[in-house]
Amino acid sequence: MNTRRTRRPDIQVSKQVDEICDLFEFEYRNGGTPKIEDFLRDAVYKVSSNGVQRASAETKDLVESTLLEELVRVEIEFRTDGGDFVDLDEYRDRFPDFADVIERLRSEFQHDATKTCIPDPSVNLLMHYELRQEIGTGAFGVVWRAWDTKLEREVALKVPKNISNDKSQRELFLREAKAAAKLRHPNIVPVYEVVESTSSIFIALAFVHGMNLRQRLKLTKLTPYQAAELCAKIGDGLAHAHERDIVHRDLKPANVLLDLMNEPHITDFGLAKRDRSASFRLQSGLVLGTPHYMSPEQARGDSDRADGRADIYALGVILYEMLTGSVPFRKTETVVLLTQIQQDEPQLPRRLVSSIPRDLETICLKAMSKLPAERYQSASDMAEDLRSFLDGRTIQARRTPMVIRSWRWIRRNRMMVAVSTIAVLAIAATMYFASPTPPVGYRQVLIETEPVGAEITVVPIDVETSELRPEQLFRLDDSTPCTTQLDPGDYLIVAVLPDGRFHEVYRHVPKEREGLSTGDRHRWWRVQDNGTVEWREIRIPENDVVEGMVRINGSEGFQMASVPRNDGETKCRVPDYFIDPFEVSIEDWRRANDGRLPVDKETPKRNPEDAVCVKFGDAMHYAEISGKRLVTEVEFEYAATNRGQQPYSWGENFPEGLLQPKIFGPVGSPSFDCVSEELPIYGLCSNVAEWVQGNWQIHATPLGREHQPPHGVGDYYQMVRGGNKDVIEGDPRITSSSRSPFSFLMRPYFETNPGLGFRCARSAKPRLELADFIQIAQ
Amino acid sequence: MCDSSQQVSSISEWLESLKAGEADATQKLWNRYSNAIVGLARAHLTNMPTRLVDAEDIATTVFFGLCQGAEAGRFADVRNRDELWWLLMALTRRSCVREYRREKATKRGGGKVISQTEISASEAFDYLVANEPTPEFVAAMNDEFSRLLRLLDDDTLCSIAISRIEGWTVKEIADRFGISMSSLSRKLRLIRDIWRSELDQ
Repeated sequence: MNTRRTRRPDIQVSKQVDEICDLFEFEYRNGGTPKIEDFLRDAVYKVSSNGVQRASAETKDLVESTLLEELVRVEIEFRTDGGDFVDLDEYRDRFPDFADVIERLRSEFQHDATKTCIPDPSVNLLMHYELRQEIGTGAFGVVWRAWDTKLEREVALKVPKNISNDKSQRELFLREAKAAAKLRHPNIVPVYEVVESTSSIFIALAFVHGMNLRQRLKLTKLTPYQAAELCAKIGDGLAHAHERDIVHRDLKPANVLLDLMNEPHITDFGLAKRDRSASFRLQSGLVLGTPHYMSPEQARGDSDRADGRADIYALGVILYEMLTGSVPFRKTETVVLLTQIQQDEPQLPRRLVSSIPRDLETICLKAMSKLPAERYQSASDMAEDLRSFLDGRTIQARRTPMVIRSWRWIRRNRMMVAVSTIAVLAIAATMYFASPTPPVGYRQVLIETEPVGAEITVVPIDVETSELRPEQLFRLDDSTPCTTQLDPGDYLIVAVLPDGRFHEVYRHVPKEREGLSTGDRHRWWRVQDNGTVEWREIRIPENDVVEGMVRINGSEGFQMASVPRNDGETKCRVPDYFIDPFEVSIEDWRRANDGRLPVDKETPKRNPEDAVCVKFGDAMHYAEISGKRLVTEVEFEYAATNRGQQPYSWGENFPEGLLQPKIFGPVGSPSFDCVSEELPIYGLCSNVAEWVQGNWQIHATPLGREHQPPHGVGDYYQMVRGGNKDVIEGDPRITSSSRSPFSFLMRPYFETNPGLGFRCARSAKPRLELADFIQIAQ
Repeated sequence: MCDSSQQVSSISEWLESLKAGEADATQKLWNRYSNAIVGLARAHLTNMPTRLVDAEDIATTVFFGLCQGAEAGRFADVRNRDELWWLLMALTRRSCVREYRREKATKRGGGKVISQTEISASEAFDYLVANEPTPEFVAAMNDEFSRLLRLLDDDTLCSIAISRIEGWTVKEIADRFGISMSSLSRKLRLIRDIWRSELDQ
């Protein structure tokens, strides 16, 4: 064992270890729970059976220890990011043969550990509990990670706040908490003790290593089958409690803890206040928790009458959220939300995500019936139905009398497909191991839109230069949801509904072994069990999305001043388009992103009306969720020169005696920078510079392509207009050189710059054929 | 030429001492040296043939990396330089020395052999930045950089190496590639190992 410390693995081994770790991380990111033990076993087997290394005992040992070390690092990072507190002793127990590796990691994590695992030196005692770390606060109170010095075990300690001073209320709370403490079920977090002291009440319960379901859902989406399985188990836990007349009343993802094996454990039974909805009502605007999972009867204020079926409703909402990615009713004003819960029918899950199995939708909707009598009458009935679905049996819930048996046949057979997929994957994994170059080929891609029924036109994007290739565009035969086969790469996807509504978005098809997807909507993907690539659905906006935008009529021959003219002139055809009159402001951003602001140092210092400065990918994301797209560089220059008629966005001459701004102002300032009365577009050549989409084919001269963009454009750089480097880096001054509408530069797409914002555009009509795209005029 | 594994350990040792805070004199030396080297890189970049630099792979030139890093101020602190950077320097230095010896050998049947058998940590740094960098040195650095990138034989590893030479922080790079910090560190270690093994040859 001592050899491990001294020997370094050779590079061949390190490369293989790296690849295996990538697969491990990939599984984590795609919602799986990869097991280090499995990866370790497979890898050693492969290394030795492949003859890549002569598998001497020493080599085997080296591979194992190196791989273990790396996998543990990755796992610990994911776990701590998920809010878990990692104890390396746990790994020592899991891998007793590798105590030396774990010890080495311990010293590495030491300084992190002071933040996470090591107790505060000034020991804080609450009776026989040593408070080690505060791990959460909520409407309920404070939760501590603590050590039970009597029984020498780790516990979570909940110290509720605002326990009523009213004696009867206090007794009711205690009675319920103590009753709940008697529950013992694998899917319920065991309560060890309910302690009542003169000054406070607190509850000690088992400490679950893992994360809660809310944190889990933020990481990646679950498949419908994973969702059904989780809900069935939560249902088991509920059933156990309900049989003992204990109702949760506040079931929500944050109250479901997932352990390292992904087993759910319900927590906080019997702790919900009975009068919660009343307090929501009284203090509308001051939301004490999330009422999204509250049943209609609770929302009405009938909390006292809410029985176990309220929990079934909440479980239905959780299932709904896992399937569709959002809760059925989303209003932020509590009063409106409570009304919605009582009155509105939820949108059908399959409307939102067409791939959801029909039976699962039926189960979900039954659980969420407005009337308790129409829901499942017991949690075990619901769990049973979920299991029927999982096993491909007929479910009990009925929505329509039409039973589509053929679907079940497919479902049953899909299990077979899944099994064979696993076999193929196992073989493929071995192949990767043997050959460093993975096979390249097209992939099956599922395209979904909201609403469904859109016609899809696919425009490939050049891998090398990231320019659109409209001459290669093609239309799909089927309307959405539909699948097609695409080569790995990027695409512009144009989705058009029969009534003319449309959206133009960017999407990415990963290479066979492309490890990791990013969070941006246009770059996100995941691979389904059957190998189909899934994207974020395309949400097609209403046509009135262009309200407030300025329409610009195009041109048949716009002379780009920013393009060199080796042989005469380079003119291009510009189709009609709409453009935002202002840059996107921080307030616009906040509204579009559920109240969240971009995370950077600058934003908090600025006013909500100021332009938001974000990465290119974030700009793309914003444009898409706003039903728009980014401005292309030709469109920018065309607008900023008033269709080629003036050298600056504000007119003919550079303003004399201009008082130079010291800071970037609100969007729309300075007011002199307005294209014309007819085209009231502000700030193109002042205020912040703007991300645009490059039109590289325009830069290539018709004769040759000596002005091809540098390699890595799109992969690395994106184009900026409306300000030079100084502006981008935060200098708001307006000079003739810093603000020429003709100059452009490239910035790494993943950079946030203090003087670099963006605005959106939208095609006047969907780009469906070559003539609809910006082209060099013939 | 010095014993290269000796040199590698000296570099690592020296980096350790830098982190421990013994940086004052080194920092001054570095300022002078890095300014010169960035100036040369900038000259190379501006002398490139077209406005945008044609199909040449601008992002993978060391000139570009140097200018990017310098302009963003990621170059100012000697401690911010990744070990990759010092390996690149050491390998370039070595290839220059080899070239020098070859020339001397053909001209006069053997020249003065530059030899360092034992070098300490601080000497390793002095060795790397001993003389003002020449245009030839910067050009050689570029060649060495392309060669080392080719050795990695993996797009992701290449991009990570480039970003690191440009002085991006590990956090920034991990975010950019959407990978965990652990994976990024692992990949950086792999790159360093591959480049280090070059020094051993």
